[in-house]
This record gives sequence, structure tokens and C-alpha cells, in this order.
Amino acid sequence: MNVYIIGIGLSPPRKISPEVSFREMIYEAAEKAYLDAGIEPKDVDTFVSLSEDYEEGTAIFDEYVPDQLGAMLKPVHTICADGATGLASLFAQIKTGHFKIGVLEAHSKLSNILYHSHVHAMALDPVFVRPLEINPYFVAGLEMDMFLDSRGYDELDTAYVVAKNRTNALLFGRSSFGSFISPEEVLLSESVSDPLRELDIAPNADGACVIVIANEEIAKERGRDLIKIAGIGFAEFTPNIERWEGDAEYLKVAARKAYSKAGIKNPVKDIDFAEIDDTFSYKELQHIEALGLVSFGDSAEALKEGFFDLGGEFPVNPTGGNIGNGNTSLMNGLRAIYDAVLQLRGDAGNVQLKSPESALIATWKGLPSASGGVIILRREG
Amino acid sequence: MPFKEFIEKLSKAKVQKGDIPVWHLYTLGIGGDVFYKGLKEGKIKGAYCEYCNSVILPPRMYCEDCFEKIDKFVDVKGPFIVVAYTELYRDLDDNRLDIPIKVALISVPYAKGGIIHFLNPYQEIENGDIVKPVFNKKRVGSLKDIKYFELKK
Ligand SMILES: [Zn+2]
Repeated sequence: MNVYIIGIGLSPPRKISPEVSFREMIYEAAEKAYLDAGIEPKDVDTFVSLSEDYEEGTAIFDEYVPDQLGAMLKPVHTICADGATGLASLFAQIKTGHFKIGVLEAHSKLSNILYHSHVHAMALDPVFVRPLEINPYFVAGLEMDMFLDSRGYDELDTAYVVAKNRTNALLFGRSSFGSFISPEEVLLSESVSDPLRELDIAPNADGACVIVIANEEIAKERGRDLIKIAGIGFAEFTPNIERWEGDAEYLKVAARKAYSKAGIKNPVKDIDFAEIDDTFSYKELQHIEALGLVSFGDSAEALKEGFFDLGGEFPVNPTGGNIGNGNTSLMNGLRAIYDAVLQLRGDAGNVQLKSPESALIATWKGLPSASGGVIILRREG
Repeated sequence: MPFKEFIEKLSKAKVQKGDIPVWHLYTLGIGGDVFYKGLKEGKIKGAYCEYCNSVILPPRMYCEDCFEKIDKFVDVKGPFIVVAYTELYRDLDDNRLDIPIKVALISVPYAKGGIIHFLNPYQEIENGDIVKPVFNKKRVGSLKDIKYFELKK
């Protein structure tokens, strides 16, 4: 039995959102997604809500849903995972045949939190790392150093990611983080954890996103925009950062699983474009290599040659990625799914690619994790 | 509320202040206890997994590759090599530091894992350089018993 995405809703990412509470933001995204799917909450059989409660200044996130999703007295799973892992969980439920329609939700209200680094520091091992009492951005700085060093890349190489994604976001026109910026200008920004600079980091943003999925029967009844979840996989490498080598092992495994389910032999040939996690600039290149889109050590050159540009052979992050749209924490993956669906439906406005039929989405759980997943979407009909 | 009454000035946005006043006591565990006691004696201790013939750093009571229990701990005497390092310009409150903190991943060639710690801020140290731990004279059994790692001459 196949599973399809039948509805999407977004409360767009933005720097701050003083006009709404985070529950109201989710309500807005849910309302849009249900309208898009042509359903009402009563039609939904099961819900998955993604949340990292400490990062939201809350605890025991079960207490913060399901009212705003219209999900009272329905099955709701609140899980702490990236977008692909969250979708896989819901996908598996539909696959059992016991549920027809499922809803996936994620949100970010990072502007509510005054000191993010203290929250991320809580994710470091309390015995072996955290007693150093240092800003957790060092984890990204260390990993970036490993990544650049092992490939012979430099900071200018990753600055190209920032320039591409900020420019794509400007063209797309939804985000306030879009700008025409040159790679050289990126290098003028302040160092945060050398070699990581301020502009290498996707800026924190608020937002909410809801995705509705359904079994084949429901999707075909709806009749339009048949977007199939053709493959999905997720994995977690060791959380012990002392063992990282800068290669995003989690995505290699996730990609292998997703490609095999979707029957993909050569991702660049068999897929039309990708939404790839770029929470830090180097992550985009690291993820591109882990996904096997180019060989080890070839991503920087391909990027410079325009291979991943809007008009390139294999566009990556055509709407701007997280660098161009903002870092919305666990919602990053859902924003990526949302934007991939826009492309497959032909609704991506200024950044619309020429009739794409399949999309690759790669998500990462964020600092300081080594978890992520891969989704393959395919348009039918 | 947004439907009827729009916020036109940011200062009019109403907020409720909150905080998370939570304190923790983390048990060190078997591996952590060995490690901290070692630091107090001016030593770096690792776990030894006989199934994969590897030293595990920092020490834990299990090997994550073999999924086997470990009860053997060893002195790790080096050579300690800088795998990667970063110069950190932010404190925990995200304020800018004028003098960066040098943080490195340091390992030995025969180990799985390594140690995250400081580098001597006054030395030029690069990836691949061999370093040694500098211990404080007064040690209490904590991660900061190591002052930093510095170049081994
Ligand atoms: Zn072992």
C-alpha cells in the first residue's frame, strides 16, 4: 500500500512572532493544511507532533498538544525527532492499515528563549564534556574543522553555500533572511567558533508546519497532486562527539534505506532536486557527500561550478534552505517537505523548477546530534 | 489577538516571564568514576574492550560497537594527537569573547573516541600535532583537573 502527502500548511518562518502564542501558530498551520487536504480534524486517525520541550521553555510536551490540532481524544504521539524520522513514524502507522489519514506537526518558537546556548549545553554529556562550561557552538566548530581538513576545503568553499541559499531565499520572496550576498562578504562576518562564522549559521526563526498524509484510497479520492512517499529512512550515529569524523554517517545509512525503497540507483539522475539540511553552511556540503550526490571531496567544486544552483543540474535548497528561511529547530524538516511539495505541485513561484517529478529531502536533528533521515517524494500523474 | 486587534508596536507585545529553576546531580557511572579518579592522580584512564581490542575514550562500562560489558580500565599514556580544534568566541550567555578559547578533540591512534578539552591558548597548535595534558597542582577529581593540553616538545 502506498502513502501520499495530501495536504500542507505553514505559518511561515520569521525572526519573531509577537502577535501569536506558539499554540496559535500551530493552529494556523493546521487550519491551512486541513483546508489544503480537504479534510476536517475529525477525519484524521492519528497525529505525530515533534517537540524538543527544553528548547521551548516547556516540559512534558504532551501537555502542550493536541488542542490546537483538533486532536482531542485521538491518538497523538509527541516525539523528539527530526522531520524525516517524524514522518517515518507516521508513515509506518498508515502502512499498518489501521489508520487512513495521519497528521505530522512541528513548530519553533525559538524567540521565546533568551539563552539558547544554555539549552544546547544541556545536550552535552554531563560528565565528560559539559563540565568544561563552554558554548556548545564549539561542537559545530570542531566538526566543521574536521570536515574542511579531511577534504582540503576552506571557509570560502562553505561561504558559497550561504551565498546560494540566501540568494535563493531572496528570489523566492517568503523569508526576511534572503539577500544577495557574495561568498567573500560571508567571510567578513564575525567568527563564532573558528572556522564557523556568524553567517555560516542559519538564523533562529519562529514558525509552524503541518503535513497531512493518507493511504492510497483517500489520496486517489482527493484526485489532485498525487505526491507519493516513495522511500524513507532514518538513522542515528553515536551521540558521543569524541567519535565523530565529520562525515554525517547517519545520512549515509538513511539514504541507503530510502534509495533502496524508492528503487533509486543514481540519485542525481533519478531525482530532480533536493532539500538538504544546511543549519550550518558546512552541513550542506557534508550532507551532499553523505547522500552520494557527488563523491567524497567533490562537493565544494561542484557547488562553485553551479551544479547545485537554481538553474544547475541538481538544484539544492531552491527556496533557500535553513540559512535562507531560518533555523526552526525540529520544524526544519517539515519546512523542507513543505517546500518540496510546492515544487512538485508547480507552486514554487519565482524559484519553480521545470516540472520536477521527484524530490530528495534530507533532515538533521540539529546541534549537537548525529541523527537524521531521508525522504524521497515522487509525483504521480 | 491577531484577528481583531493587531500589534502595531513591539513594546505592546505582552509577554509572561518564566524560567526553569532546575538543578541536577549526575552520577558519574562506572566509567566516569574511573576517569575522574584517574584525573585526580594526574592520569588519563580509558576503558579496554577485549572484543575489538580497543581503548575507549572517555571510559565507559560498555563498548558501543561490540555491545559488550567492559571491566578493564587502562592508563592512556599517549601519544595524544590533535584531531580537530576550534577557537570559540562565545561564552555560554552568547556574549562575545575577545580572547577565544581553544577547544580540541584529542585522541590516541589506538583509541575509539577521544577527549574534548582546552589547548594552551598561547601556543600555535595544529591538527596532527602531538600534545600532552597539563594537570593542575591541586586536583579534586574533575574534568578541569586538566588545565589544558600543550605541545609535547
Ligand atoms: Zn569493542
